[in-house]
Amino acid sequence: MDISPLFVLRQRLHAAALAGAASCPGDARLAQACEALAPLEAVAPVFRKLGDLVRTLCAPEGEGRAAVLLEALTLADALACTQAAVAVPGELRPMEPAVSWGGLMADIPHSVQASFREDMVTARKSSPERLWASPELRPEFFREYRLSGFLRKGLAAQGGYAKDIVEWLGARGEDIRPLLEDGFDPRGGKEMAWRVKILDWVRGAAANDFYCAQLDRGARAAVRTELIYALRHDRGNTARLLELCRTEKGKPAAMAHWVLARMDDPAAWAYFRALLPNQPRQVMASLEFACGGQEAGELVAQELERLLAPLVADAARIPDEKEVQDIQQAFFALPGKTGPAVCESYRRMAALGTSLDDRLRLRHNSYNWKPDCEGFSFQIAVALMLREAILRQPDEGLLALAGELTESASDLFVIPYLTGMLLLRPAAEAYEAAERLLAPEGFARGTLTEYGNDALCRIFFDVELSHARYSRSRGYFDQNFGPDNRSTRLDTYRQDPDWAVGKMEKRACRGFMPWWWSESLERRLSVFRPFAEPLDFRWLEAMMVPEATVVTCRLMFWLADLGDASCCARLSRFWHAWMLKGLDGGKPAERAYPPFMLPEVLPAPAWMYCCGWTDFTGLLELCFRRFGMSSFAGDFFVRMMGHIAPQTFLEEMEHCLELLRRGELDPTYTRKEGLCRRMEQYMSDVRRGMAARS
Amino acid sequence: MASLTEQQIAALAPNENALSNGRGISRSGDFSQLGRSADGTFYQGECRGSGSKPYITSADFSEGASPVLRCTCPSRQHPCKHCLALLFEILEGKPFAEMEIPQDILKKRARRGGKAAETADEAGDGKETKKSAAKKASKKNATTTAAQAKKLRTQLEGLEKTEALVRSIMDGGLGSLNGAMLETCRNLAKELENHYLPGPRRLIRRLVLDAEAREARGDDQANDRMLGTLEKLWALIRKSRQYLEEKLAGGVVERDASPLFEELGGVWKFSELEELGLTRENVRLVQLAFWVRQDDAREEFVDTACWADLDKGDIVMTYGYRPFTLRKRLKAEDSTFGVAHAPKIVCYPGEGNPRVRWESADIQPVSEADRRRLRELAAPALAPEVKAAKDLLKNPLFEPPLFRLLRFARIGKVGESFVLVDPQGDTILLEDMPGLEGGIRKELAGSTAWLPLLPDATLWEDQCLLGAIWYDAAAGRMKMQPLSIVTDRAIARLLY
Repeated sequence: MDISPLFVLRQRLHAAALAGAASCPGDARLAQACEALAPLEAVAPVFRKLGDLVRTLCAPEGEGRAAVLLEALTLADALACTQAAVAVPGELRPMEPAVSWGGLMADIPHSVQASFREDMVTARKSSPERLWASPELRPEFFREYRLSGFLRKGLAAQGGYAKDIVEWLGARGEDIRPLLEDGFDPRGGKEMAWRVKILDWVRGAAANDFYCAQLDRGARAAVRTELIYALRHDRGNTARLLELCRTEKGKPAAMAHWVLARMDDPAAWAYFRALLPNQPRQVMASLEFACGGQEAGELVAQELERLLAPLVADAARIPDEKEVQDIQQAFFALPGKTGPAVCESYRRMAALGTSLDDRLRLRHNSYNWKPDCEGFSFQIAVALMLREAILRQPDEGLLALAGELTESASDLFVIPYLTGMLLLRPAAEAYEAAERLLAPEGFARGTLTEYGNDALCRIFFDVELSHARYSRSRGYFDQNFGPDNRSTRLDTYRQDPDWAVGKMEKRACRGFMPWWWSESLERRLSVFRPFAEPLDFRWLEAMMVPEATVVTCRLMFWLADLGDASCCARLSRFWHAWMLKGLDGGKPAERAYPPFMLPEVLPAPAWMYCCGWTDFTGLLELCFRRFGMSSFAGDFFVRMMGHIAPQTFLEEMEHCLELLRRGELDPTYTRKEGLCRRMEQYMSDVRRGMAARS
Repeated sequence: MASLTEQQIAALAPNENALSNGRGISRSGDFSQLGRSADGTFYQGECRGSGSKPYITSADFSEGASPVLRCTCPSRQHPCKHCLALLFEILEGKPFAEMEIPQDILKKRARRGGKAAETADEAGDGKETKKSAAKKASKKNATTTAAQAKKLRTQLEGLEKTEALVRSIMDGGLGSLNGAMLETCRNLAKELENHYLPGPRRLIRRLVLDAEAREARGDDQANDRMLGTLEKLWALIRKSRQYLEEKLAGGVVERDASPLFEELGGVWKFSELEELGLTRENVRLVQLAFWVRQDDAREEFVDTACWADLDKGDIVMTYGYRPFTLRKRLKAEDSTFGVAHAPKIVCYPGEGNPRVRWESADIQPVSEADRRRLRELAAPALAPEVKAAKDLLKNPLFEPPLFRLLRFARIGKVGESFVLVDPQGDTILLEDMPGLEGGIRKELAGSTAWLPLLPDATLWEDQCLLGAIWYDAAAGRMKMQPLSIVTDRAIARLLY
């Protein structure tokens, strides 16, 4: 029996429902579909019933069409359901097992799974601990055959969460390869791009065939860019990269040029040399981060010469914005370049002295933290850029150059010179050079007057970084570098193994941790540069001056060898005295410190604690008297002391509360009773913590 | 020694936070003075809290598997996190010193024993007491009170308004369901609360949501869904009117086993279903699938579970309703990996897979014998199950899908689609049913995609499958969403 008229009629009824029952009388197609139902009506009463309903609908006169239409629709849908097809035509083939990582079937309750899945695919701000350290989520869950699929989906999630998944996946090593390669779609989006990054990280050159194959399959957008980036592992890709440089556009093109610059191949340099006159900025952007042979240096030197020449020739000429950007880009290409041409370029720029200072401000690094993002005057920028170059590639030639320029050009070059000495010379020699160059005014000489900060910060870190990084330097190191001192961050340009890094003592930061950002590639480069030898203690001795600022003190902490008891003892004594001086016998401070600004002396107890100092007697009361008991500073101090010296804290707090109750201490910003309660509560917490630890 | 599983502890917890906090307290070692009675029925510990004195927490297992939990903390939550922590201490086998049961506990036990004896006596008075109570109840229910009659009339008024709305929508066409008409629908949905018509109200809300989806996202499936909702609503109006008019005319308002009872605002009590004889006793149920459906029309989460009755052999459902507004306060149900032994369950009236409920159940691990039993119970052929599904699904008032456990010879592919083949060679397409999990995000929903990821190839051959049979109107085809596969060795869940 051919029941197709039923389905046609059903479609017409659906259309009538959209248009309205009032439109049915004039609906010729509905009437036609009803007529076509006649053969079925002859066979079964139920079809006749349907036909009657539709005829009623189509009749020119009649009431209650809405109800009739609904009845007809209900009946038609019910009939269609009973006639629904079930059997599946076609040849059945066996199931092909999909590649899944894990292969475990586990009884994971909905409450755990649903939460896991949602975390994987949404941009929630849940802390990563919620997932990775959750006791409910046992390690085997990540190998459960359903949940492992969501790990891939999570790569497409926005926000920091994807980064956590990425690093977790990368840490699985080769194991994770099937999960990432299975179902790879070169035309995919964010998830596929991340898959390439992780494969790049885990497999490197071993997956070169995969990268090439996916490029040939028509990878696009972000995926294409990552695949091109991954070609850097194998110098055999030079010919392909040259082709890509000619054919690609946009970000893939920029990446192809950038990677080609790393191949250090005669054909690549010939290409760049030919490109330079027409697209100098692109060539310079490609040379960022690259440490090629002399050819790279020659290209950069040549370009800088060309760009600076008009400014040198005409003292009144002010560069326009494009020229400034071109010069800036060439500047950024300097680090990593060595050789006579580059050294000569530095000499010429140093010889210009302050002649360009009024007309040209340049950044020495492309990160955007203030105030460095506003750039420095040309002379300062050259000195800082030489320092960057030495950090990028510690080179004897550059060290000798810095020494030469210190004598011949400006004492600003002390900064790169001492940086290089620390990286390339024995500790004593490095210190003696510093003593010679920075004395007799002491270590405060060489201050960059524009910002008036410690010169030492310029030697060891840039100023703004020092404020942000010192206190986190150890954590930062642990977070960013693995046991072999290679960067563990996936979004960081990975160094080749023969580059950086020697063994590093983690007890003290004995090296520099610079990083650079490539705007054109949206990638950063992090390296760790260890000092040639552990730092000579005389550096720290020289910093222990009464006028030392918190920046210097923090620097001392960063440089201290916490395994050296005598070093620690001396530093702690210094900080203790420095702190007492800062607390000024408990004389109230002249200003209140808002929550985003701590008084300088307050971090000192934490440093002392790390150095094994135990005598914090009297500091609590002095702090209260100076900064107020309920101030942000006071609160901060209480919490710090409760953590580092709980016993002393409890004893001193009792005493301070007694003074408060007697009116000998000012509650400052709040009522006495509330403050007492809060402090007592905190003391109770500290006692509980002590009991738990014991 | 009391035997406990983590699932049992989770089942006792009032919410997730309490469970998590209890676990945390146990892990952090806040308990001291752990003690246990010689007969292993009483456990006690002192737990450090935020006060100056520790809390005394105890678990009394003298009544059976479900302990009586007590704590001196001021929390109003029961059981509190300290009690749950004590249970975790027991679960983890921490050392408990032997102790005497405190006198106050013994007194409480004695008092409870007295009360239990009273209740037993009452029950033991036997049939007569039950009969006379039933008679009283019946008399009361049978009386047409003015209030109940008024309620019926109010409901009928609401049905009239709903019918008028449906007629005007159909007159103007679905295409015109926007703007002012949509606002009328929203207003009526609110008004129907006062007419004790939750069923029609829910359907109108569903209509409104689909219309909004059509406007906002250009959802081209929305029209079909709206038509389906209108058909359902129309059928409900007609049947409800008939039902209510009969009651009003007959002057009888006693509860009967009609599926319309809940659609018209009724809430079944356990005892009422018992009285109607809708019970099963000494039941063993194995949960085969669990999920949470986000029902935007009801404004509730529905914790849904499929269970197989090991004795009767059918698939029954449990539903736990959690209003959106009480999401954080009401504890969600969770997957159960075990056999629930319930002394008595009640079944709700209705067709297809009956909804069941129980007051208490003991959870035991699933044995190989249980799994073999499931395989015996599975339907041997696809055709009768599909026919049964069609008979139910053609009824607009039936809420799809129909869940069935059936045997299959193999699962394979035709083109890119997954197909199940039964031992007779009949085939059906395997595909996720839209809306089974409600408004959940698309990338989180579904179970069919997991089939090729199953780590054991034997799962695709000669096993049993719990599937949700549904009708795809657009394709004119019956389909099935696979939910779990049962073998002798395991129950492989595809959903949760």
